[in-house]
Amino acid sequence: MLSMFWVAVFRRLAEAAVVCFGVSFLTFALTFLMPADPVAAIAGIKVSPETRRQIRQDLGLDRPVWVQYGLYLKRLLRGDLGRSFVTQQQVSEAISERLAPTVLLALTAWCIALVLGVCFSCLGAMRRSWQPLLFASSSLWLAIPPFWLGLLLLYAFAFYWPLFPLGGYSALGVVLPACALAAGMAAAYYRILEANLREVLAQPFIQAAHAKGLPPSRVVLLHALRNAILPVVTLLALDLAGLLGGVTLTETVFHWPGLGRLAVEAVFNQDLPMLMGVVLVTTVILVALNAIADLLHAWIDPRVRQAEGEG
Amino acid sequence: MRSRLFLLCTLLVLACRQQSPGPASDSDHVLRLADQDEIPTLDPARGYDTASWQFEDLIFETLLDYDDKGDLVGEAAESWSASADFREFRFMLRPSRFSHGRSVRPGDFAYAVRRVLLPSTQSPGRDFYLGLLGARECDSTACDVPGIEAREPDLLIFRLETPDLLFLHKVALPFAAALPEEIVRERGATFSRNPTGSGPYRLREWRAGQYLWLEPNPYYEGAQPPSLAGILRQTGVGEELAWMQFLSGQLDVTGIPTADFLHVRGDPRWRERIHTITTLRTQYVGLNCSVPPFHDRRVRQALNYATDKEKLVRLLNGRAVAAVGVVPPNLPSYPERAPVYPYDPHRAEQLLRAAGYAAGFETTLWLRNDPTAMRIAQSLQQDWLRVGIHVKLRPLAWGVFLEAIREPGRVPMFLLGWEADFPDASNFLDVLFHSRQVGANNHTEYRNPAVDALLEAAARELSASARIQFLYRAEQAIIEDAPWIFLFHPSTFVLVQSRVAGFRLHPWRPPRVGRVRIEITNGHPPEPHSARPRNASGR
Amino acid sequence: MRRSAPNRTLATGIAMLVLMLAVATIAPVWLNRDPLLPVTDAIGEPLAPQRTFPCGTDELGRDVCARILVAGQVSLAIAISATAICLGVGVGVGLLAGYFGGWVDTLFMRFTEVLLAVPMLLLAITLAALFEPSPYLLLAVIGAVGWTPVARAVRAEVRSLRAREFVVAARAIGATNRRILGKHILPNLRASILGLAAVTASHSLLIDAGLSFIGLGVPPPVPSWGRMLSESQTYYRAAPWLMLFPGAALSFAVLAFQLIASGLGRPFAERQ
Repeated sequence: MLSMFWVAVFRRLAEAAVVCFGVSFLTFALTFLMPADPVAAIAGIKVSPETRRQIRQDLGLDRPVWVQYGLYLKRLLRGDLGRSFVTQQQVSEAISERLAPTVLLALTAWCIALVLGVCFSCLGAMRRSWQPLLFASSSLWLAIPPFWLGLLLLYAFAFYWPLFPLGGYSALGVVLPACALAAGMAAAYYRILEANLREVLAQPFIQAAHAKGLPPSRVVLLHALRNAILPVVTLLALDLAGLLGGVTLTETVFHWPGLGRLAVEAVFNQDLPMLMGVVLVTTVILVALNAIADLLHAWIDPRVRQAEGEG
Repeated sequence: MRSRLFLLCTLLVLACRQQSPGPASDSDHVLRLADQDEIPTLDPARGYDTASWQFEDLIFETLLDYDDKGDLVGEAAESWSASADFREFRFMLRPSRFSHGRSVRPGDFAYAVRRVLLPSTQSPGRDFYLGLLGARECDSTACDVPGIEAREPDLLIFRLETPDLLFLHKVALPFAAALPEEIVRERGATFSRNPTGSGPYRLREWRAGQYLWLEPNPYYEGAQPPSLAGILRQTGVGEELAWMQFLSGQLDVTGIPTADFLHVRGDPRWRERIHTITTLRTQYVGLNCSVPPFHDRRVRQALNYATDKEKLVRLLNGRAVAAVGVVPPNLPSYPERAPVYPYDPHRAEQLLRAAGYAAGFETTLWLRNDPTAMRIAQSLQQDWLRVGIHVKLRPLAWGVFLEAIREPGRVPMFLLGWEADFPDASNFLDVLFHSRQVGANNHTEYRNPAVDALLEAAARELSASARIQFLYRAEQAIIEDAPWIFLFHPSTFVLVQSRVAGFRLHPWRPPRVGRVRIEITNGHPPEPHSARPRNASGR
Repeated sequence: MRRSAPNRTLATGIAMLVLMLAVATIAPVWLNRDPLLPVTDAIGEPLAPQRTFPCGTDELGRDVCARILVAGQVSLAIAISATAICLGVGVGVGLLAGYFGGWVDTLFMRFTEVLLAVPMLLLAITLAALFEPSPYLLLAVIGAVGWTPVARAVRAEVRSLRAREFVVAARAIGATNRRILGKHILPNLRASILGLAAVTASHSLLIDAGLSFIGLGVPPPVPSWGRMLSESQTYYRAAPWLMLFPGAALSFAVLAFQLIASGLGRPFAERQ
């Protein structure tokens, strides 16, 4: 049994390695397909063609793509992510500086969204009369772009009533950007969870629970919710992975030093080492969370576990 | 369930505790700035953008510098002289020290220029100093430039291959700032993030994506002693956030958001604290002279007549001056010019008819994907539609856009700007319109032998006034040929708090924030909310 | 009584959608105002809503009302076709991966991981540089981004469904895979799929905004709701109407999509 488990773990790790490789290859290829000159980002537009050629040669950008990719992988295996073309900073250092703020913002936003989504969907499922209101307001939140909500929140709660700091990285400062991000996500969770909840509530085992005389709140919370969350678990994991990969616009609005801004700057500057580094980190996070979601899925739903065992 | 909740809380707490302490302002005499863009580098050999130059100017010293009027003055040089043929330049240094205590020697300037010339430095400023004797022979193995002579203790001589009237301006560029060789070698690639110079300020802390913090250089002996206890520059602060921070007294200097501009300008409370200057920049639409229908001069002229420049200025809330030619209006000692192309759709239609495009035509305008550029482009699109020219917009990322316009014959028309490095018309005309610059900066593929001859005559001319006449005549010929639609010269508007005194904008350099003073009136907080520096990261 | 409720939801949603489509088609003709050219001299200074311009004008002097109506055609077309693409691909892949499991599942899921991790901004910039912008390219990009979450959600649900009694029973009596998928599993997915559809539709309305700045969206000056929203963010305090009206239109559309989704999703749940 134990060996089975380890086999599964190793298989998953091997698959993760393949995914990372695929992502890094695609990213590298896309950067080279893009008809743009990374030297322009380093040297500016006024520089003469000779100097530009010289810089390109020094960075090794004049070599064939596959040679460059091979060299990159070779350095990567030694644990060297390289230096940014533009700022000359160590890529690993730049990323690790941004990691803590990114995790803080992502986890806070995700938790808020999840709690709100669950609460409102239960409310909607139990109190039919509230449903139209919840429904309409969820559409509103889905349609509001997070950056706009962010600006409004900043204006109201940091400027007009200075309850929170005006942007910047701090424990208190995480509240507003997290709320701005969570609003739309919570509305989406509400939509999906509520649909599932209502379906589950119509099923025989719930009616049996009602028949046993359990209070409705207990039925919803204990029996129905678990079954309703089930299809959403992977979605939740993906959303968290998305947040951990950085949320550029919100980070920009709130002056939050997250990975999103780093990634976008790297894309626009064609800062190849920086871009590859950020993408690698994001991929690892995504793959890990996906694996966790699969495990969790099996844990919540015994049938899946069973099916896995059979298959 | 409870244990999982606990785990989550622990994670959150851990994430919170990881955060940076942030700079606590030592005193009220810290100037607080904010900007959207990160500072790419503080290595003078590599920085070639406004943000890098603004802080390199504080940390490093160049031989010469500009005063507020734009005239050259000595910074590290006490006196200087140029030979009559403008091929030899001598600089006498005044005593000065790096921020680690060592005194500055002429060899530190020589080292800096040699380093810029060294190809492996990847310096974008290399081209400026290739005129030095033997500079072109400088390669990766040896860079012994005979044109640079450092005579201890205080004499520095530059010798050029050909006369160059502009060499003094090139010496004033941050590329030629004094560097301590021993520290540059020791720090290697990290020097750009941890610089040491002989300027009035030195680096205290730099957190990428968050802030840059400068403090006074204790060894500074120069003419502009630091007037502030520190300079704190937040990075990644958008226009909107900066504005709110400024209004609540957390910032000392800010730009004015587009949407608030008119009401701020009309508000008597702010009027005296607005600083403005027209930059040495020209925004234009390049018309590719090798792509039909723009190979026909009449079509290019028609487009100039069909463009409502005053409307663009209104669209920008008056933050620009309509262009009459290539060279900005505030260039020192350059003649005034009368507008050649007023807004005249009728004239445009006549010219189009004469060129055989009575029914108009379709083409594509390429531009950078930036909100302001998109607004300008849409306004142009409206104007040209009135004379029957249908223009599609092709917004692209900056790098892609640059690569596209460099490719000969690909892009029919593009929206771009040019900013001069020093106040001289040749920095526009020679660089952008000489036929030898096709493939480099002459993206419109404009070729006119008469213009080339005038520009070359100007480059050889040693008399300043005759030189300007050559350049002026070249510009007139270019305006007549209209390879550009000359749009406008943007103006910068900046608002400062009343506690900041002595703030000045510069037309072609970033503002010299190191020279301002902070005046705090005791008892009364001078700002509407509070002038006390709440700390930058809001701890 | 309980049966009529969901149909009313559905009817309301459809009515809203039809109303929007009708307004978006007919009103521009009736309003007869060019959404692309200035209607006033107030350039750089948006005019507040007033009698002649019920939704105000923007900084280029264009009538916001006319723009919202034209944008409606564009946005609704994008939303509907993009959602169809995302659902088509996502449900197909999710069904196959979830039902067959094994290497099919592994392959599909790892592929979606790769797609999710490659930076979309990079892809968008590269595509915008390589191809002339067109609505098809835009749909392809939104489709490429949008199908993966659908596929993952569907796969997760199928994985739990295939172990349920009725599927096991169907398999025991020798039903073909196609029959099991079509008759037993797919109908059970309806609620989730329609919920996902509503979310996907609203997302694709917003994605268009971001892409048009990179050069991939509907080419400017043609408006779309998403782009109107993001273009007007500079003016969110000085001219809130620039954001309010497209935002309201967008919310209305999202609500309509969700009502339809919810109305379609319910009857089945009750039939069970």
